[in-house]
Amino acid sequence: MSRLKILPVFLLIPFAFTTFWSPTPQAQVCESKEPHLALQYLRRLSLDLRGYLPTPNEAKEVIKAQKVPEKMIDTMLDSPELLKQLRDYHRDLLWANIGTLSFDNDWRINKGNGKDQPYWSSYTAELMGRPDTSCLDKPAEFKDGKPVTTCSTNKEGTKVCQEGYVMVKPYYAPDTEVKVCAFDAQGRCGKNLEKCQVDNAKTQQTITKSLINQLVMYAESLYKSKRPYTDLITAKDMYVNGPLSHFMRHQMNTLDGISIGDMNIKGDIPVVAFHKQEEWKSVDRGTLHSGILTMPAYLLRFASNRGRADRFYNSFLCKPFQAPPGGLPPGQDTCHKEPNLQKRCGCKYCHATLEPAAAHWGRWLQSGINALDLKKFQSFNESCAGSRVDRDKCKHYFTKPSHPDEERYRGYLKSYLFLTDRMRKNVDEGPIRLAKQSIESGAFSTCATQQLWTWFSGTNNLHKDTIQEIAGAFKGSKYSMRTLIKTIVTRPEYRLGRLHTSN
Amino acid sequence: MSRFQVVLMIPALLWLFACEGQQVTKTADNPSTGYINDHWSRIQPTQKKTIRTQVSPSYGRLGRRLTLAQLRTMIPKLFDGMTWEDSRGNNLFNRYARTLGEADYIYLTSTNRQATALFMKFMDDMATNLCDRAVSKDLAEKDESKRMVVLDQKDIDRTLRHLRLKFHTIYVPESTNKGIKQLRELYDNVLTQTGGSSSTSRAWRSVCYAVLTAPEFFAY
Repeated sequence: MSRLKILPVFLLIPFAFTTFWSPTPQAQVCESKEPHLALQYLRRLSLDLRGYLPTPNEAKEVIKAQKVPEKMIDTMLDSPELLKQLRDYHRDLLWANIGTLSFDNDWRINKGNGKDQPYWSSYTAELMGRPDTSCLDKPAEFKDGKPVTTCSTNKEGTKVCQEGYVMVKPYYAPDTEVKVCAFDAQGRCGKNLEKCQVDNAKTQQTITKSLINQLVMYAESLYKSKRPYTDLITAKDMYVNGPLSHFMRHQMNTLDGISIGDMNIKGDIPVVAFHKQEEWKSVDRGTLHSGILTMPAYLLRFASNRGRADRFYNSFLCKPFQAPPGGLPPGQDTCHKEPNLQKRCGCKYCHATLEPAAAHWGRWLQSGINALDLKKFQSFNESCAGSRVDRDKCKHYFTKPSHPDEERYRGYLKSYLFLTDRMRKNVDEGPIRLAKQSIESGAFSTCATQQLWTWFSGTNNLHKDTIQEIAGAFKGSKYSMRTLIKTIVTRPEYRLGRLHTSN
Repeated sequence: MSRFQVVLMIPALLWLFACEGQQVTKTADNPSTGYINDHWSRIQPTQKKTIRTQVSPSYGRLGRRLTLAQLRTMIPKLFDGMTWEDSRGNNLFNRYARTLGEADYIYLTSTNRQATALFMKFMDDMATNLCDRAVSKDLAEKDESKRMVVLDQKDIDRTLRHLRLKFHTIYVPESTNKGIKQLRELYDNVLTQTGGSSSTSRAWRSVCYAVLTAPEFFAY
């Protein structure tokens, strides 16, 4: 049809325009329906939403339709590959890796391979009179329930007494049997070695890997079950798989370096066998919890309260802490003697915000995952306020002021140092207070939009009005992550890529 | 008609004649204009449809380099389960992850997506590793649907079109050779210059290297 023939239609445009005109500024953008542009869009969608290239058949479908059918986008949004992308996204958002965490302590079977060399631990060997020496590679004999040892003198002239081995079905592989030195099998490792890490079986790595999976699969589970994305930082549930169930039931109190104890869990930990890494069961957590912000991997990855708050500000508020322009005052400046970081020159630019924010994790141990229960650990403990205190009993309390300004905090929980009355609420209510404030203020939805756009586009170039518009749709969908992703990937800024320009 | 409506009619008339000179009749097999040979050249959309969008000074999504995670996922899909590995079967995407800038969130907190010389060097290695095996397998495979690279030994252009679509998501219609010209030249040159019984295999390997190391493969 010639354009001139349809001219009358256009004469109606002004009327329609005056009728449907909205005060929001609008622009016209040329959208091509050429297959090439549609193919590029398909390629982008497929790589961003599934992590791989579109198949030739999908490409042919798009060539035929000269556009990417909405159904195809929906299929990608509902695909299991998208869940993998979400995992990667949250891994990136939360810097999720605790692989360097070490369970290096006495609760370890650190020698042998269980086959031609029985498993044994240096600690038990030392304790039982055969330092740095394995047991004998022959079945153990028992007398009155105790392993019989055979003594000899080694090359250094030291007397060494060795027992034999017993066959054990280890907790990490109950269908197999391994040789374990009898003293180790009978001692502190408990039945089926359940309390000990076994280096050769990489049990520690399995646990740290599961802790990270617990964190990132939580986001995935919210998407799968269509729960609001806000649950990520507010919900009270979490999931445990086999390694985590075993770890929480048998090994929590066997660690030296990491403080692990009361995790404010409601009820019992569900029983899942260690080797069932893909079986996840839900656990109800107590009032101090707040989504992933109090999950073990988050607390361990960001071991200090300041680190925890800093990551929250970066990931969920999009407000990174930055040093003041011009840098900090010289080190010799007397202003550095101010003990309160909220007031100290240079430091205050970040710490005036960071200290009250970090206080939200005040009831969670630093370098640990213990919750300090409100009833058990009052904010002030009279017995820890004196000059002579029981160090063990007062280990969570501030007992040693190093500046006159710190005197008045004696006997308070460490996290109360330099907090005002208003900020103390942050400690008692926990990260949930910070999470709720960020949701109510709209900062959470805005930042989630910004983060996801940056993840997909590699740039943070979206106009603030556009971010607000997308964030509004996200909020309107009751924080549906699916809606957020779909809104972003169907926006002209994404769809047209570099061809998208404003007027 | 009010004066206001007359004023508003002007943009409508301007729209009416916009892009008139470039309009062409096209079908999927005849995209005579606006052909895209890569993912980065600026082109002018020729067929226009007006959509309403927010005015914003921001630009759209920028082109990006594939990540190692994407390569790790997509290569087995493109090569029938094969991946970049050494003679002992170790996955080299995993082995070189740190070197190739994949974030581990301890030492490196964000993935490097720059197409550095180092990255491209390793991608050359990847292409050699995969193409040699894939082409050998394809040349012995009778079932066309199971071939990864050499779809049709007899119809070279058809295969090249297929490769452009499969690896670059670039459509080269039957009506043009523009998008496969260079690959065809490469194929012919290698075939002529190598000679001998293995020349076909070498020619296809060269094409495969070229496809897999092309910026069109790594950019999206």
